[in-house]
Amino acid sequence: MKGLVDQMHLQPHREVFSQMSLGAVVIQKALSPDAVSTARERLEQDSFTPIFLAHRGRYAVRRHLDAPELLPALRRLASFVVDDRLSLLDACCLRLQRGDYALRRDDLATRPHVDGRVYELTADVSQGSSGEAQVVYTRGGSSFFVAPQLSGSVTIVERHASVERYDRYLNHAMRDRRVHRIRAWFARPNVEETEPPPFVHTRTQG
Amino acid sequence: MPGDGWVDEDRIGKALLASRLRRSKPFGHVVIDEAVPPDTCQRLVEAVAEEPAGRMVDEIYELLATEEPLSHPDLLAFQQALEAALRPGVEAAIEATAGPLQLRGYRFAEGHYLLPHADADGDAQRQLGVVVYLAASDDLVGGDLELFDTVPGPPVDPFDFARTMSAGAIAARPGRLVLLDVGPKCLHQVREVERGSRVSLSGWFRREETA
Repeated sequence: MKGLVDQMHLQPHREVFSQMSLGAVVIQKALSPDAVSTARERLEQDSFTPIFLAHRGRYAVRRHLDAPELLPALRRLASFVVDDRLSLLDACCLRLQRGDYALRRDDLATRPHVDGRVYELTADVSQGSSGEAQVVYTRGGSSFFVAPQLSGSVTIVERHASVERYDRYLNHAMRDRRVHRIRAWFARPNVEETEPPPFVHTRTQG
Repeated sequence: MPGDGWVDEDRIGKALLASRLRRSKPFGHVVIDEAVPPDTCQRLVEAVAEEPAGRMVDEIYELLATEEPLSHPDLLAFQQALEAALRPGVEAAIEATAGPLQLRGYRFAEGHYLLPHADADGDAQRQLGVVVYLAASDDLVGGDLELFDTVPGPPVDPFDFARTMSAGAIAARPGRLVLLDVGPKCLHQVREVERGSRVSLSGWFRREETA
């Protein structure tokens, strides 16, 4: 896919990720401005579902996102950074505006619940960046990683069961700006993929 | 020091008797206006300003708060007087012995908020919430205390709900005292202050920990 950062630029992030006890990186300018606007325009072609549960969050969402070009590209990016072969579990797009938020309780209710290591990727396809609306990851109630709201950035965080996430409240300083976040979850496939054997004889009928 | 004019004990006592705190909707709460005289409010605002304080940011809030516990003599005297004035009514309402009242000073300035939460979540010692509004700037927009009605969700988590609906808001009026029940369904928030600022003292009657 065009507009996605190349592996040479991802290499430093891969090294940083590998050295962390709990991997978490923000890759700035992972998506070109054109890729960001194209993704956002496509997302806006379908309707978002408004969510309001005061104790969990307020936002609009498209669940079980199907983006046949972008998601495979993000899967390849995530696989490279975490240095593992990953498969897509699920994806959604959040749209937040002034007054919106998503708390840890919402994360608990909406994230995929699977055994094993899960990697959460957040691609920011907003029209602009702000000093607000950070994505905060916590462990044991304390934050250990804060991702800024940067258009074109991709954040990858290793999710253990003890890791929780919240999307910070967007206050009135956001004015009429909107934040668009594609959020995708990846994991190792259940069945290990292997290289084919050196000699494969394919029998065909007829 | 009850009787020294820190609070209007007569107004608080009568209101409490009539309040039926536990039967109000969407959950137990009482609003008592003019519970604290204007000159006392002003004196307490000055005391809050002299307390050590700092900006606090977390998942559900961004605000300015004084350190715990209170240390200014005026704040300590007020806390003691308010506790004494409230205790009979509070103990009748909660049908239990109330622990000490522990207040803290808060200043909500532009962009500050406290998102929806139930005070019981994470602190089982809290018995009853108390808010005293001391000052609100003339240009204040926001900063109301909003209460939510709830429809229960799955029974596995008493703090989760299938639906939540706004059930009205209480303005931050100086001198106003608000008592809030504590429980999983007692969902409330302080709406974002979009302009101006407001100062309050708030906290809880907290049952004393047993060894």
